[in-house]
Amino acid sequence: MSPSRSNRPSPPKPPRARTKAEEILGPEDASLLDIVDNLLNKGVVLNGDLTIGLARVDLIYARLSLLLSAADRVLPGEEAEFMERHHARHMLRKGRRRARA
Amino acid sequence: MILCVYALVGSPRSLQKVTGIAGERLRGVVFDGFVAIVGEVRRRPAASTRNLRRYAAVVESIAARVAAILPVRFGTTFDDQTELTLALRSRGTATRQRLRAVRRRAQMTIRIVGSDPDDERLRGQTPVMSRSGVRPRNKATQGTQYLQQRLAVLRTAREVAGLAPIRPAIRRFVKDEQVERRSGVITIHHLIPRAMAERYRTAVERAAAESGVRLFVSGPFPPYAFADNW
Amino acid sequence: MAKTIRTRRPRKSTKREMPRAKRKVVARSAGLTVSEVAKLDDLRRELERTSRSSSPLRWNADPDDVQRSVAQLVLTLVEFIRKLLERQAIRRMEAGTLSDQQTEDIGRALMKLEETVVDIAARFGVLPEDLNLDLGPIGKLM
Repeated sequence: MSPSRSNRPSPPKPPRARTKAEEILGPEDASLLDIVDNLLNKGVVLNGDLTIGLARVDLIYARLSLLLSAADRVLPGEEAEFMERHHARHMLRKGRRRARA
Repeated sequence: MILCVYALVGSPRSLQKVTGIAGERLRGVVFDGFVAIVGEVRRRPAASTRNLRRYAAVVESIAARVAAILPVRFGTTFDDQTELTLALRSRGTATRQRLRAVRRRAQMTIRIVGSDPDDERLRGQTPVMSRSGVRPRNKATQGTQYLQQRLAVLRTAREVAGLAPIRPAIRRFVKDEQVERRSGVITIHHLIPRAMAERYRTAVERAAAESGVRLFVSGPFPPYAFADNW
Repeated sequence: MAKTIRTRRPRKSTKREMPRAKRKVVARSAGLTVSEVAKLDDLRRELERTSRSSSPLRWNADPDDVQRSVAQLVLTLVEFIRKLLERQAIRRMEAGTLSDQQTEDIGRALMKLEETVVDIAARFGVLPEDLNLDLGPIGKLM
C-alpha cells in the first residue's frame, strides 16, 4: 500500500486479500514489534531504578540518573572547534554567493 | 503528579495540539541548547500495548513539528522538575551533538529472519568475558593486538552478510547504521534523510527481490536507535 | 494466545497532525512465511520480557554466601566499566584519534584488567558468565 500522492480524498478502496503474516499477527500487530523494539529497547536513557536487598528482603531503593558520554564528544574544546568550522563554512558560502551576485 | 519525559528537541515549535499518553498538555523544559518535552502524569506508565502505542503516537506528533528529535525511553519519569533538571543539566554537550546528527533524519528498519551464519561464530566472542585466545608473539605490541582482535570481533558483529547485495542501492541514503542480533533476527537500523523514506524503501525492496534476500522493511520512525550514545 | 484481528483504522490524532504527503506505511510484510512471522513475534516477546525484568532492577545477596554475592556485584560493575572503556578505545582507534603509543598502552591496560577481574572472580567462586547484570539498554553492551 503506497501512500496516496494526490491531495483529493480518495474513494474507499476495496479490502485487499490479507497476507499470511497479517492473519497471524493482525495488521496492527505487524507494527507492534517496531513499537516494542523502539520504545523499550532504545531512546535516550535518563534514569533507572535499582533495588538492593539481602536475604530476599528488599532494603534499598536507588534512583540512578545516568550520564555516560564519550569523552571525545563531550569535551568543550571539540564543540567549539565544530562551531568554528561550521561558521567558517557558512561565511565561505556567503562570500561565494555575494561574488556570484 | 510526576513528570513523564517524551523527547528531547532542539527548539520547540507550538505543541498546543499535542497531548501526552494521559491526555495531558505537554510543555517544554528549557536547557542549554535543548528542550525536554514533558507531561504531568499520575503514575509511571505500565508497558501495556495501549500505553506503548499512545507513547509512540505522542513521539510521532512531536517529531512532525520539529527538525531534530531524540525520543526518550518509554516510562522515563521524574518525581519533579528539580530531579529532571539535575539529570539533564549535565547532558548538554552530548545531547546537542546527537540532535545535530539526527536533524531532518528518520530511522528505517530492516529485519532479516532465519539462520544467522555469523551467530555461531560470534556466540563465543561476545560473552561477558572473551579471552583474546592466542598469546601475541611480539610482547611490544600485545596491547595493540588485543585491541585489534576486539575490533575484528566488533566488525564481524556489525557486518551483515545478507545485506551486502542491498548496500549499493541504499548507500547514498544511509547516514548511520546500528545492527542488532537477537533471537535469531538481525535488525538493521538506518538513519536516512526524512524525505527519502519512500525512495529508500523502494530501493531496498527492489534490491532484495533481485538478489533473493528475504527481509522486512519498516519505517520511517523517529530516530530511536540513534538517540543515545550507545 | 488469541489475537483479535481488526482492520486497521488510521489513528485520528496522528492523521490530522501529519501532512498527507508524509503519511507513512509503518511496515510491509512482503510475503513472509509463517515461521518467519513467528520468529519476529518471538523477538517482540523477548524484548518485552527483558524490559519487564530490568525495571526495577533487583540485586539481592544470597544470605548463605553474602561474600560471593557482593564480589559478583562489584566485579560485574568493574567489568561493565571495562567494557565501556574498551568500546570507547576501539572507537577512537578506528577514528584515528589515538597515537600508536596510546593504543598500545590502553590495549595493554584493558588486557591486564580483564585478567585481574577473571582471577579475582575465580577466587570467590564466581564464573565469568555470572558477571552479567542486566542493566536494560546499557546492558546490551554485555
